[in-house]
Amino acid sequence: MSTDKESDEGSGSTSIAGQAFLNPPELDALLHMVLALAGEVASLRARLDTHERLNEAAGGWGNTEVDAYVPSAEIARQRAALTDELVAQVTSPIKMIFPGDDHDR
Amino acid sequence: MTAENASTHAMMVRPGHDAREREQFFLSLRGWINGFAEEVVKPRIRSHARDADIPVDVPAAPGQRFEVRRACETDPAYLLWGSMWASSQKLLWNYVGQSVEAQHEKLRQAFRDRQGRVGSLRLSPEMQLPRYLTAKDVHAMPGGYALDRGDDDLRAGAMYDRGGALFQLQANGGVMNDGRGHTMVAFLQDAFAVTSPRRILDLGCTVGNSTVALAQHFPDAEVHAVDASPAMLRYAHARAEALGVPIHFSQQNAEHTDFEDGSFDLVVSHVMLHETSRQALPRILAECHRLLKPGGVMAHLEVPYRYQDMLIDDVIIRDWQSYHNGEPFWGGCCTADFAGLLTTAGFDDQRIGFQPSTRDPADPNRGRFCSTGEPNFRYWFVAGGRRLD
Repeated sequence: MSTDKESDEGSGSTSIAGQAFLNPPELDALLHMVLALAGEVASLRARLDTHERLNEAAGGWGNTEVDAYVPSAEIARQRAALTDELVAQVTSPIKMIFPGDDHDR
Repeated sequence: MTAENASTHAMMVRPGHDAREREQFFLSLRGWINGFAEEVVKPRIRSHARDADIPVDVPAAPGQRFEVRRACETDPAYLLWGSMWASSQKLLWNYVGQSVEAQHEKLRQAFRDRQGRVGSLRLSPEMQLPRYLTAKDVHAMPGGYALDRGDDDLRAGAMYDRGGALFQLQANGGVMNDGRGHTMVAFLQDAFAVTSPRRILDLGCTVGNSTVALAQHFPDAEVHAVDASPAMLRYAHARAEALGVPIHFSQQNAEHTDFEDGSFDLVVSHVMLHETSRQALPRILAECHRLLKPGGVMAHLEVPYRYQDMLIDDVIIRDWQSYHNGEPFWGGCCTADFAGLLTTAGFDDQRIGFQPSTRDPADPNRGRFCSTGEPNFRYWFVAGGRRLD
């Protein structure tokens, strides 16, 4: 039978950082990486916002001008190339597992 | 909710632009996780309890939580919630740790420059920390209370103060972290009519955040505070000196201090007891009795969770701390028989119940001490008694 003594002892692990919740435990690590990345995205977005607001306060362009900005066709092409490269990098582990049949062409 | 308010002090680390935004991210994330617990995890806990014929609409027997928890340990939503909670806690300490590391040299210099101006600090390098403070990293803070890299290290205190302010932003007086101290004073007034104690001791004071509030309310008293962690105490001393509040800190084990018998009018603690152990708790109460003058008052403030009065879904959520946040005695403390323990320790005139949180004990409209409360941080659980002989 369980008693209150059970909670005196708590979990068996002495290392909090190493405790596993999900199965497989690598999912805990993956979840943490995603949350940590989200934290950096939030912080970066706030930094961009700070730049826009400081610039606007100094008489320059701000939030509104950034939102209204439409890149020219050439700039849009350059950005799309950068995005393609990013997508390729992010998905590269999948390409390593499933290389595809490019070599047959 | 934001991470800053107007009131702060010189020893509190100042996050830079990005660190402040990361802290804000932590608060948003923790808010989401708490919402997930309410909306998704709690209904599943109730379902597991029903399956085991354990009541869900009225409080269950505290011992029944173990069976429900075992069922939860295979529940994907409970496990995902736990993983996210632990992960967010790790992020909190990473964020706070970066700010502390960047400013540690400045804090150490402030500690060295200000030492002993109005209060004092007495460390005991040979002292062994009790096992319940070293077995796990309390609050999952890396290194826990034992973290001390030598050379006047203040990291543990600086992290605890900033982390605690974030962690309990609305619940403990914002960046000053002094809500519990003010609430303790309200309890002392309501329950024991304490007006002018001459000598006060605060046990397990950590960074002295509650001690400062006590000392401000009783400016004529000689105030002492003990803790086992040297890095907490260095920071606590520098913090109190920065605020100009005279407090005498010493590194001691609350189970057996070196103060003389009958030498205090008032002995208190704030959220310390749940960081100890089932064996230590009665020893600490006995030590309080030894230290008090006849007529003196002992008062402890704790988390507002009394499992026997709570619904099983809330108990399971709160009891998670016992297992995964370095607080192994949390559940033991939330189920302890304080009336029995106080009686055994020799205390009469007992007052055990709930004190509504306040930042101003002099406010005539604040809530008064009552026997029942709610399991949230609008209240604190309080237990006190008087030494009559």
